[in-house]
Amino acid sequence: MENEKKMITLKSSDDVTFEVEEAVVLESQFLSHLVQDCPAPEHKIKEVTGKILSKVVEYCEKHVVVVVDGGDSSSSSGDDLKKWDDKFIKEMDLSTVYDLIAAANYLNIQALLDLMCQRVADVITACKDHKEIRETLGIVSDYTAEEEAEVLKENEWAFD
Amino acid sequence: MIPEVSIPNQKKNQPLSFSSLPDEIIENILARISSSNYPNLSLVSKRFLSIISSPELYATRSHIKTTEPCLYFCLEDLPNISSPKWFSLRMKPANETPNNDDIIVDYSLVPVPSSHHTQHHVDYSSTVVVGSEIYLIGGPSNGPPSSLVRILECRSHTWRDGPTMSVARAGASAYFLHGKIYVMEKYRKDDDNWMEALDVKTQIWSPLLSHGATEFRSDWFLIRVFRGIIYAIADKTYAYDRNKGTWEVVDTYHMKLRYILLDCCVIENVIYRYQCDGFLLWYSYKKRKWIRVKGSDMELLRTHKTYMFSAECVLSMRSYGGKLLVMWSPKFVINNGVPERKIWCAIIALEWRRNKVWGKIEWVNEVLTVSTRSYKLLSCVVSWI
Repeated sequence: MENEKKMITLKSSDDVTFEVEEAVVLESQFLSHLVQDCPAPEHKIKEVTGKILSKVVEYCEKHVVVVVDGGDSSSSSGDDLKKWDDKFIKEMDLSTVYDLIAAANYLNIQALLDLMCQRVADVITACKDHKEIRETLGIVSDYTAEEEAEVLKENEWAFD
Repeated sequence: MIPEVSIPNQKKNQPLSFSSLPDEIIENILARISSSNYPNLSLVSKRFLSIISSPELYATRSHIKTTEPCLYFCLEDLPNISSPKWFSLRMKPANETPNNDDIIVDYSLVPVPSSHHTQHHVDYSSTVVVGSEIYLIGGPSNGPPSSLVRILECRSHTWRDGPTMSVARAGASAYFLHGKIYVMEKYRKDDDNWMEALDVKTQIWSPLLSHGATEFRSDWFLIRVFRGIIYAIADKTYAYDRNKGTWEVVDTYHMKLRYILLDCCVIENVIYRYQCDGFLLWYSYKKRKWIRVKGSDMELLRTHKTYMFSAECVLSMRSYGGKLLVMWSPKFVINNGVPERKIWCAIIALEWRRNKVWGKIEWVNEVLTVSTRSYKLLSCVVSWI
């Protein structure tokens, strides 16, 4: 017995359209409320670019398939998904990561948000000191030399 | 008409930067980083420092399960450490050791600032950990009784007073179970007050019913907690029923517990102990016997000269986030004509493979040199930060 799957079209800010199954949209809490409240066939997500929306859709499609197929999420499908996630974020530049964080945060896709935050955390962990962290993330320090010396002093034990 | 969805506060065609992310996102990111990196992170910017110092960060770490175990111990060593002092041992994983040309330091022994009751210390048994906090309950067994409770917050290394108990106690046994700290005072003969419990959430002490305790309380006994149940081990073994407030004798199978629980460490419901020949053993309920933990590291620790390990010099065994933390102090050595004694510490990862436990040393080092005679390890606990 096969039910006809309900399809929904998402349109990015630059008018790239993505036709996805309703189950994929339900991965996003925000979109699931939207399709319930407003049963239009097409939803424009203004200011999420086609590039980012395609990543969001790719992620949600993968995660939806595994939940349906895996049933009670057997360990192998969990491992596969983990591998897929690793590949998904590998080589992704930080600016795309930030865009995906903003999109996942707004569309309320917690698992994608967590995955992206983990990616930034891994980048920070790989830095050897605070200067490299600033450089990598493009942060300008707002400490005066005196203030920085004071913070350093408070944490002296860690730098011996 | 096409419904439109927009992300506010984001200008078109302007790439996002790390700094443009909201605090809650940065908190989500920083909560995933090991706290051993926090001193470094606090130097990045004022915003980083503020997020790292906030109580919300710990809540987030608890929520996403990234809190990490951290060893705290309290030591007295006359004349060098004249009053009991707390230390925290911060281990750095080997691959995070900085590549300095000089000595590789893979840990820091961080002294905890003293509590304003500098003399306030308690026994092993009266120290209890709840999350990131260490509760010191009452007075020591060899000192004046006290109803005071002092709390050390391990993330900020600050002390505060907890709610005082209904009576002054000395050498009480304290256990954290089901959201409450249960306190039992072995030497107190007046039945009504020998047990009470602190609800950690409400911070209110309540007296506990203790029917049936008179049977064993006049005699020698030991209190142990195993699999969420409080046992009193006397000439018989009694279990405490929290709902009824009664102590009841447990059956012969459980009687085995009395031998098992005397000197051991429970990690994820498995009991471990060191045998006198230095082998680490675990107890199999199925076979009803002690079995050696396997692995070449176990043999190395037992036999290698450097470690000078033996079962009788084990000071403490603790569960360290599912791993075994063992502290030991070998016999003294003469250094430049002065006798000295080292305290060693090791973290042993325990892995189950085909119904056998394999041990692997993840970290080992000497952490402190103490005088040979007068030092006392007063407490040793694992907190979560």
